[in-house]
Amino acid sequence: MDFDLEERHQAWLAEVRAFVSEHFSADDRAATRRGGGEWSGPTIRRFRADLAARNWLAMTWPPAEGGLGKSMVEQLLFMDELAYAGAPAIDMTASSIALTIIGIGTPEQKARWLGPIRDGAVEFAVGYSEPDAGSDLATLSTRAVLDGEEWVINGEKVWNTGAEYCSHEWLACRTDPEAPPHRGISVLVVPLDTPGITVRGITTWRGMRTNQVHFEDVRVPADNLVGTRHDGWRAITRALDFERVAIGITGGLRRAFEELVAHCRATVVDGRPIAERPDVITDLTRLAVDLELARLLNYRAAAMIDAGLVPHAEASMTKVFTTELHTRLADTATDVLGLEGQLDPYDDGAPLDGVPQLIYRAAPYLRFGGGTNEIQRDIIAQRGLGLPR
Amino acid sequence: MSLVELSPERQQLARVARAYLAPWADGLAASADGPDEAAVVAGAVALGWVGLALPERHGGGGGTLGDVAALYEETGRALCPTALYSAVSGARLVAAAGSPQQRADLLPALCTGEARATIALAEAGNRRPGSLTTTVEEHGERLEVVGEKRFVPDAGGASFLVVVARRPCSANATLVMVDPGAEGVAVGATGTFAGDRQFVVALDRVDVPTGAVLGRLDGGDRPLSAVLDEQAALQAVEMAAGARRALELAVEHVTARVQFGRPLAAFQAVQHHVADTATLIDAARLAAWRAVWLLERGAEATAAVSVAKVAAGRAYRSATLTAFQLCGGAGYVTEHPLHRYADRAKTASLTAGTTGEHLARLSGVLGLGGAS
Repeated sequence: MDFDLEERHQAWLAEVRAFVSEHFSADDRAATRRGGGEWSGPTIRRFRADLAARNWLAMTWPPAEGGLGKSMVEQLLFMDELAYAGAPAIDMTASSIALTIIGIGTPEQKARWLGPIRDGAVEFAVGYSEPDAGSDLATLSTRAVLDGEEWVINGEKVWNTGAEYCSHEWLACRTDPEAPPHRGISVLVVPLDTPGITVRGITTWRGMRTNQVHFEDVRVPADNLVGTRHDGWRAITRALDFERVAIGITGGLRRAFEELVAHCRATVVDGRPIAERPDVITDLTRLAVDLELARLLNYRAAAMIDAGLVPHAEASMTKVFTTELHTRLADTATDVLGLEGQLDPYDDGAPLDGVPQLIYRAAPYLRFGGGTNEIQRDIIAQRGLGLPR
Repeated sequence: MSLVELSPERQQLARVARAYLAPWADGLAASADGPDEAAVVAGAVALGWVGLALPERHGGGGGTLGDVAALYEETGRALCPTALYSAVSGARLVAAAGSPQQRADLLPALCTGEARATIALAEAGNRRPGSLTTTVEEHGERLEVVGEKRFVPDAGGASFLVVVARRPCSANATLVMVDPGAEGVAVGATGTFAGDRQFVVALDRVDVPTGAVLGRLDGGDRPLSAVLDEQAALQAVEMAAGARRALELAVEHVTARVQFGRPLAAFQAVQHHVADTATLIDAARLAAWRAVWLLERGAEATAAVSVAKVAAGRAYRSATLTAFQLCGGAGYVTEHPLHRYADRAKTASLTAGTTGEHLARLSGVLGLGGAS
């Protein structure tokens, strides 16, 4: 087992760090933070355009498809660094869905969608969950019926994050109502400005917006289908593989932890630095152990993809461990900050710019989103250790 | 990049070790008749395991620390008698601290098993090299060692103890080789619950020649701390492997055991216990190998070793206690090997630095606490 990933990619890391310091200033960081996770603000638009200009949205795509052919570990080092800097990541459109299109799309589909994704012109909101189909996604009921040369779509999607600013919907819908649940699903690409689409915003605890999206007799051309008709389940599950690795990224947590330690050393309460309180020493040191374990599990999953393996259980491990560490770390950090732990990023006196409470309030979503951690544990037990389904 | 698997050479090494240890592992349940413990260790030494990563010119295998780690994955899995570990650490300390002449004189016999060394470090109330009270004083051409060592592993079968002592005039450790049969040395058994062989060694004005100093007077700190870090990292590898085996035993049980008309393994509550334990074990294994990897190339590894030891202890204790819960009464009886793993999980957590000791060390690296 080798652990020289940072070392071997020194040049790449240096390039990434130089890029981040040039294109993502402390002011950008503060603006992003105060945006409360709003992924469409002008700062983020500009930053994504900078990434696209280097073709970094497509860094893991094969060169033949217009990408840079970088490994998953290289992409992870990059995304880890962005998370550490508080910069927005490459979203799922480029990092996951594009790879799905490359894997299962026809030459025509690839020619049509990959270029605009690479340039940042096409961004997908992911339309999977429905009011009555969550973890049991295969029971989704949004219908698409072929009428001549057009699909006619009717149904309802929820947790459709980004639908208010993305250009297109990556829509899972039922195209064969007679087939068994997993076999009658297709994926359609639907421009979000198509008549018949209603986007209703929903605000979450952390302040982040998501959406409920209603489709009523929405018409798109027949060739907006991606992959093979009725075989969309494969497209859905493929696109979720790297997402679990991406959710397991630890850069943001490591930054928060380092700033917390620095704060504890520099801040005197009741006559002594917080860093000398025995309970603080123990709690923070235990978190340091878990942060390192989370980082190793995260890179292991990416390394498996590079080795040609499919990290079923291993991707679930990084997802579960990191997302639950979010809560442990933020819960401890807010408590260590004391009364100041409740200050938000708009308050100039907020230690760590109010990040610990942001993590605390964002963490539940990470734990139940992207496939609940209960589903992930099923995967670990069943795919990893061979327990029955 | 391979956080993913061992090199083919190390996999081969592991296969040989697993095959050799299979009869011993099959005999772990109290009801089974297994090979004799001493014979298993002697056979392991004869296979070259003590000298695996010692220089070839001194009779060793010329391997690296990672090769030993690959071996320890199998010894951990099979619960190899711990006498192997103390012999490996003792020999590694001789190699790290000894003068060139001492290495040439001592290592060949340690590699073949004709001699066996063990480290005598802990004292009542003192654990760290910096706070030890065992003394060594010069009297002309002779030295006198006075003190009492506790939890000395396998002192009974050792040809010599490497006693960590201190000259009264010095703050630094001196390593002294003491024959356990020498006049003034009293070796008494310690009643540990896991039954592995640890001893109290009383050193009552023990007279040794100056040549018994391993390396230089006052020169023991550096080689000792290097070997203790290696020992902790290797033990973490061994522990993660033992934890994995304990979880496998639990999985075997829940797969075979049917209640309410289906295997226990089909219940989600059971699966989630298994999933959480497997995640802790995988994380511990990665952390242990990372520590070994850093040590192998001489990189700074203080934090990594402590992370590894803490993670391995948590994973092993969690795996064995969860396995008891999953197996119920069937795993709790001594006819089932699980209790042996549970013993090792706790004793291994307490040796080579407790969780608390490693957390304290790590907090210092992080800059938490007072004087650090």
